[in-house]
Amino acid sequence: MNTMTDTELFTRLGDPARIHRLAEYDLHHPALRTHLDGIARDSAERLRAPVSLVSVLLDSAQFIIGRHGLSGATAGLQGVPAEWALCTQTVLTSAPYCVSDGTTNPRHSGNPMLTLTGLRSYAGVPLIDDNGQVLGAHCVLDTVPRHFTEHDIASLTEGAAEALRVLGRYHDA
Amino acid sequence: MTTPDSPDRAYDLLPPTLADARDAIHRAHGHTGRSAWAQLLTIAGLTGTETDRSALLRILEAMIHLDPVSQLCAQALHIRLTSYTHLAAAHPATRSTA
Repeated sequence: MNTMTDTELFTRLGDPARIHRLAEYDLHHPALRTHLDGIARDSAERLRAPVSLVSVLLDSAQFIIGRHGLSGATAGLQGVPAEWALCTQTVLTSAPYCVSDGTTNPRHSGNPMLTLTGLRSYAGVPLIDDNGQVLGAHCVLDTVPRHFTEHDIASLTEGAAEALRVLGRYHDA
Repeated sequence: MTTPDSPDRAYDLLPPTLADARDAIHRAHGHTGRSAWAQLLTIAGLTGTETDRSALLRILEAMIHLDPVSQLCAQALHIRLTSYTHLAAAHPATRSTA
């Protein structure tokens, strides 16, 4: 079991080289957001999932920069604390990460993000830029328990590659 | 996502403080963190010992305008503050000692 404290988590996510790399992207550009929303929508449709996100992991929070399917109380959600974000695990492992049912998964049961949104299953792939930095993740979430297939992960990986191509246009270095 | 050490500490969430902002600046800036923090305190007109919410809001405003790295730190703290205010405080699984 991972026994990482929040301080250790923030230290890992807040690695200066990674944060400086993230700071080189214009993450607030409206056109970037629109394009990433489209990528999230496409992934949601391909995987038949109600929610899809493109996000970056800041030092202590997940910052959502592309979204599809967030509604109601979560419609304006900019992000969640890093310790709540399932994408944090995807970023830390730098590999695809899946949760079939968050309500029964010992690592994630009781996670307020899942409880408050009613979401139960997750599949995410890392966003690794051409400098080797893991910037964030592209993911889908579903309201029902679900086993994600290799085909699902391959499809998400295609979406992540497109998201990175788009992000590259908003990199100022 | 972190895996909790034990179920009872897993998702505690406290509102961010000036000390959290200082820690964020130090870790994200690396070796220039100390000078960046001193600069932010000067801009915000703070001593660094304040513990009230208005001090946090003043330093966040200064962080937004100092440089892109500090801006990202401010974004993260803003997300944590919003989560605490709008989500965490309403959820019984998330506790605060504040």
